[in-house]
Amino acid sequence: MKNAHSNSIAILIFLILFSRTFADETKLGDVNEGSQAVPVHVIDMHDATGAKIRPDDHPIMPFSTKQTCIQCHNYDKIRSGWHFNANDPDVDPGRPGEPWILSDQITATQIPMSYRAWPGVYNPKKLGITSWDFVQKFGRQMPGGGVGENGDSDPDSLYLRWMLSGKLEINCLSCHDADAAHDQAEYAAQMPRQNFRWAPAASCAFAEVQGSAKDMPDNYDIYFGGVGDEPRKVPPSVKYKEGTFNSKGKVFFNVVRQVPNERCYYCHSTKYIAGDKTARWQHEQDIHLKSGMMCVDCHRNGLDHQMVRGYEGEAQETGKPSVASLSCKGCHIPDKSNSVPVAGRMGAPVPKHAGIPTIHFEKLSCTACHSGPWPSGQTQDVKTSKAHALGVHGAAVADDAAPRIVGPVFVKGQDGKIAPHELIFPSFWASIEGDSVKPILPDIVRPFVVQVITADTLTDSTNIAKMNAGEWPDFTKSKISQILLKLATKDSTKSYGYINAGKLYHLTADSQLVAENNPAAQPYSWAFAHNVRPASQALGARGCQDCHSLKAPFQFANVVVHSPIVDDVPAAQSMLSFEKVGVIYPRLFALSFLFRPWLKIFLIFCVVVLVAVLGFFAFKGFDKTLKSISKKQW
Amino acid sequence: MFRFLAFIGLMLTGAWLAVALKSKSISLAATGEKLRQAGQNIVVSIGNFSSLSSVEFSNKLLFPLTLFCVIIMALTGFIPIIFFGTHMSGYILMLHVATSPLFALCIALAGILWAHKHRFELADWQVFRALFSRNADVNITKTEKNQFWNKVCFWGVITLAVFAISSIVASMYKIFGTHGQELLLQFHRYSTLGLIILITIYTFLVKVEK
Repeated sequence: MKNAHSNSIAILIFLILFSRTFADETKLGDVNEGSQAVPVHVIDMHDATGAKIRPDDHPIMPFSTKQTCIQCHNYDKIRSGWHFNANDPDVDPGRPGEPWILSDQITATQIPMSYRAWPGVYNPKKLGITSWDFVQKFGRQMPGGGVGENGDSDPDSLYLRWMLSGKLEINCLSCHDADAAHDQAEYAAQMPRQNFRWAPAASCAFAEVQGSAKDMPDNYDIYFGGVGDEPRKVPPSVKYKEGTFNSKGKVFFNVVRQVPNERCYYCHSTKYIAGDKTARWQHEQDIHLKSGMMCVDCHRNGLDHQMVRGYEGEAQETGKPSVASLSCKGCHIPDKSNSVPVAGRMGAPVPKHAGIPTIHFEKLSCTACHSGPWPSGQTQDVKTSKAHALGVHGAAVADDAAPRIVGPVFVKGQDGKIAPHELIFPSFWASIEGDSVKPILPDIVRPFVVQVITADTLTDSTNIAKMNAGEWPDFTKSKISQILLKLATKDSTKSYGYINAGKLYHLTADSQLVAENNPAAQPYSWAFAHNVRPASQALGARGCQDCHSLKAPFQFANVVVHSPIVDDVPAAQSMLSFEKVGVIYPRLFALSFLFRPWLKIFLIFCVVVLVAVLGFFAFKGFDKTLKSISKKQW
Repeated sequence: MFRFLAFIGLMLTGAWLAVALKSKSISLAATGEKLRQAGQNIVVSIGNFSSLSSVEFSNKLLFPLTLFCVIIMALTGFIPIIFFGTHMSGYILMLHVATSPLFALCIALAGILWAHKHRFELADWQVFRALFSRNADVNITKTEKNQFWNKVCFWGVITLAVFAISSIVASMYKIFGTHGQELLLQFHRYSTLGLIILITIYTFLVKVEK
């Protein structure tokens, strides 16, 4: 008994040590032996169980990126990377970034969400969104991993669905596939079909995926099939194209170390809707990319895939000093305290910033002057890949499709510097308990909203048309009141409200609709850095009055506030309110620049007078001194 | 570094002034009262501008106005850097900039109107020898000594004013890059520090030691 107990402990200790060793294991593909060439990946494919896939397998399984790539790469180390660790509470969230947006056009809902603890976003889990639901909705622009492999935290009722669909493993090919025929849209298309296991294969040029796990019953067996007589319900399957396997049963994966820009674009594209300038050719690319650089030249990572985000202060936050050299300042501004010169890497020009007082560099980020579209009189609508499912088959393509994001908005960030941000005003139906305002998921509210806004179906054609186009319907205060009253019938112990355009709309005791400020209605914003404009198009390139004039959009532009409420249209907010520099001072300071040229001339005149006085009396004194010396007998 | 030097410099100047005033049995309250009167004189003089004689213009308007500008600019310029370690910004910056043309005008007028009075003469050379030469056998009176230092301060102020104004004007043009802007700022800071110290000594010598 005693021996068995000791043996158990020994085995346990061994397993713990072994698992630690395994997690820290350096594999063949993770060693930098020095060759710049990328090894050609003609390798065996493995399915989710680890079994090798052979062309004559029946049924033939989709390859598992985890089981295939893990043969040479430490998958566990990779999964700790920034793209995959959002749901890890131990990871420092860092600077607030672009959230996922739970958007529903019918209920005019847009809720910024993130698993990272950024202030102002909602955790999907706390909203009641399971990992299962999240992956189906947002897996389109996720590279897998994270909650895609976290089905264990979902309710038991979803266990069989996860078993059937498989986990959404990290799809290494989402980034590292250099094949021009790599189709991330096909990957995205597998999400609503719940084909998580098949998604990586779907994106590949050498595989086709058909069917849908969503249509399969919980007890469907992916190995033995059996769906009965339902011809419309096609089970998920993969077919590898002829010639995929070589004579040894291996497959060529066209992978590269340096991720092509095209791969990044699928999830990280942004479109600014600037009036009539919506065509692609009317917008410039980032100057770094036009200069021949790649995204990953700056946004680097090691095996741990801790992507460098590139903002100032990241080095201190992450505890990695080397990251500092991959920010704007790190590349462009020489730092004499460095023992080795770092600035100028990759040909980065060192800016002169002629005529710019140094206080600008304390108050503004580099991006304030160099990034995003040139600010105009009011903010522009913005569409992003993550928010608007850009590139996904069937996504709404209208420029005013929900969710409504605006930019550039110049916001004073946590570091005290003003930087350009994209901004969203949360909009959602909520339950109110004391001071707490909790969003209600759109699925719950939708029936009530539909009832109210389509009550006059025959005359409410505008709303029907809008709903068809992906836009928000038109609400009136009366309709909002009706929806809130209908919500109240669901649970009379709670009160309900509608967060929109920076306000909380709710009913008073006598059923009057009022709108008031509420912290939950505060906008959420995130800094952006792209596209970077060239130096000649930076703010200030034409002089101080690019920013310091009464018409300068940098300070005096309007921040558009979108709202579906047609009889309570919100006023645009002043850019100054986000820059936190007051209201009167910027105007006075801008006004002073009208007199600045005269001030300069006057001061120069005074200097000339003083120099003349100095000069005159200096010469006079010199003259007297010479006379005095010459009078002395030598 | 500048923060430390400015703090030390202004503290020592203030301490010297306090000791010097005390040695003259002049209290701070009396000094404050004099400053208040000087302020009143400015207002009255501006009102009676056309009837002012040149002496009255110098003594009752130009000098107090210059002093007033220097005090404003010194407070707005040095309080942020000494007490907060930050650059001037906001309303403080605006006040500093708004006062600057008046200060420049006053200094320029002072240079024109008082330069002749403060010219160095042979007698000043004797004072210089008496103060700095070991073997000098010249006896000088306190008045002569004070007049000498008066003149030194005056020309020091004029010279430093040139540096202070020209350094800030140069930074307003697209000539100097970031490193140059930092250098110009340092020029401006150190020259204004010297300016304040010399103006303090000059004012004491002219108004108290007369």
